[in-house]
Amino acid sequence: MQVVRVEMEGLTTSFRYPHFMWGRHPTFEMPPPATIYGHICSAVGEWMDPIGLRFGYTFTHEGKGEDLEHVHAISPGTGGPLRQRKRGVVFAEPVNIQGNVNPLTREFLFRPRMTLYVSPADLAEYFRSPRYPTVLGRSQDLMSYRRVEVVDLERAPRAYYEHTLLPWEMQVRVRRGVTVLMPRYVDYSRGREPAFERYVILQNRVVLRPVEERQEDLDEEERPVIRYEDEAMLHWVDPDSPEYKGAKRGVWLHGFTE
Amino acid sequence: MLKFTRHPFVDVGAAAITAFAGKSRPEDLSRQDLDEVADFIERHYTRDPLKSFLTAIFPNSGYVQPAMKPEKFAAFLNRYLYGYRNEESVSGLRCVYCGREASVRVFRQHVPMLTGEGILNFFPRSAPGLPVCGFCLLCIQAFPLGATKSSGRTLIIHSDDEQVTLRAAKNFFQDNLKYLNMRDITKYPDQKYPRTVFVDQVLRISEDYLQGQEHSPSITLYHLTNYGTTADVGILYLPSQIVEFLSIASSAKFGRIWGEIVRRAWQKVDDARPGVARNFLYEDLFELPERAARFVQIYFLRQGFRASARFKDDPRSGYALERELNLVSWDLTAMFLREVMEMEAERIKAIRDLGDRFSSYISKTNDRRFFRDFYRIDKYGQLRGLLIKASNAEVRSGRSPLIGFDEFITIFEEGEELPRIDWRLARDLVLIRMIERLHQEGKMIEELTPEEEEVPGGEAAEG
Repeated sequence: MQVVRVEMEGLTTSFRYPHFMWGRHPTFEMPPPATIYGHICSAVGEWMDPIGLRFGYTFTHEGKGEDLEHVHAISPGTGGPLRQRKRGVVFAEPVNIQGNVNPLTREFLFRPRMTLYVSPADLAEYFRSPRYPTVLGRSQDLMSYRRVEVVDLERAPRAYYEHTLLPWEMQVRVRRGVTVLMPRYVDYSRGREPAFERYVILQNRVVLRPVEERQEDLDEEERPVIRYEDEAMLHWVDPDSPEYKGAKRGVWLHGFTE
Repeated sequence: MLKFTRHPFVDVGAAAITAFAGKSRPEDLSRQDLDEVADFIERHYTRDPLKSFLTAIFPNSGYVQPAMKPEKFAAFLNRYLYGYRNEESVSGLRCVYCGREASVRVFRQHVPMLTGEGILNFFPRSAPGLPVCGFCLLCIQAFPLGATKSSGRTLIIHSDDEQVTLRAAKNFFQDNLKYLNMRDITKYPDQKYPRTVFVDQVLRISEDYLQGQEHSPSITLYHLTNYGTTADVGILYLPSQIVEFLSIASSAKFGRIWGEIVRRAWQKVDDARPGVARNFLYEDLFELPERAARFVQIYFLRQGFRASARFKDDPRSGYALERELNLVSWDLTAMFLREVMEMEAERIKAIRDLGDRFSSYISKTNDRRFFRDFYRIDKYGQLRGLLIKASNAEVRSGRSPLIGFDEFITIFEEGEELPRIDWRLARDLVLIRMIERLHQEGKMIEELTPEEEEVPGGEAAEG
């Protein structure tokens, strides 16, 4: 399967939990699918039909920090003219929006690096010449594309996964990681209506292999590290990734709407 | 009517209502159950001890505003607590939690950590407020019943395994009922050390549920306050592998030793228990796997820990190998390596075999100096030198070398003459196996260990 492989890096990034709006903005450890959708659309220059669009990634960072961030909290204005009595300033135009500056604590990730895989591969030209500034997370989180290539992912009966996002259904197989509820897709054609989904954030390396290969080399008392019974399961792997225990790095291709 | 939505506030609320009604699942709740819990909330949220607790969850809501006029309060209850009875709808919008038709837009006084009324930030279409249905809103109003107060904040436990969410909420709800039934209590009891409370709850759930499961879930702690200008949320994860480790460690196979290791990690205060004291082992779990080497050294090799001056009641400073030999367990350590550190089975086996060979060597030759030097080594060159010297001596005596080239590489080196970053950990693991074997054979370890207890490699120092 041909996909676009984009290697990128930046200085900071932050992926806000959408339901925690005030006081502190904690960050997800990895970009939610809705963020990736926005990123792809930014490169293309328009809101794309998400059907058929797929992505996978590996994402790392060098640590988490926090900062005070000014939020300009805006609200509807009074409709009357703005008056500042002390300075005697009067603007005749009605105020339709007013705001105050509020400090909020914002978590951020330091030195993010991502290898993003996107299908279909014919999007490569957009990543080579992105339409809008390349950011990941907040608008000030600039990223640099270091390499854009079209690669052929291969099918393999075993693969390892690390520093990536997996569908929650894989939790019973990898038996590792943290489950998070993330925004999967924000529908701009319906007033930014969000859709959420559970995912597994997997940091450490996990090797997935067919059931018949498991644990001959393990002691009786040891639990199998990984097991799955669907022997026909094949993984998409990146043929250029380093080999580990006879496996290449798996690329789990997620959709945005299904 | 009610269902789990995967959002922590809604799910914990649904679990609390389920516990309130004595049912097994939110789907089993009847309309009468909802009416009863709403009535309970109306009666208890407006008076202490819950009222003072709720000022940090629902500030400016009707529950905590004494100046609110009766008719306005009734309208507040009707809209936000009994909203599930109404047929109101916010035209064309769906509940962000469950996808049903939304009945009301909510703000920070109704759902913690949202923005105040009228603020447009973070909402689409310049329409402030989050569209929510009456059922999810009832759950959110009920979630404090399935929470506890910890360090002045609200603490809830949520998991991708619904049974874990249900059981944690049920435990907290039963505690809350006890408080509410006490006549003299005006202030909601505050539990110290949220991390300790969290792990204690997970272990309680492990005992009667998780140990029977085929795989372990991921469990999350939310520790939040919605109060004034100090609104804040802390999120702590116990990943599946840590939950799995805790379940196995608490099982019959390791339960005795593990229980004792945990017992000796409690803060040295009177009446040390969750909510009152911290358990240092529980709190150190959140540093894994990054500080796994330190964890192994302190808890499995029983090395004294040079605690920071601010923790004078830290029991770890009193750990001493020669007094706690019965707590040194290779099997428990190996399980930790496998489950938490994801160390390869081949390397674990190589370390165990090396520990066996060293203990046999010491047992046979009574080479105390080898033991002491191996125990005290702080520099990688010293380790290489010691093993080469001892191996040469064995070869000169007509026996096999103590350690083979391939074995040495597997355990201590990334490549030839390039030490592994965790070579000290490997040394400690070999020590654990050696000590366990020597102790089983009745060797007097106290005669073998250095006179003054020293921390090998300095890993256990505060840093």
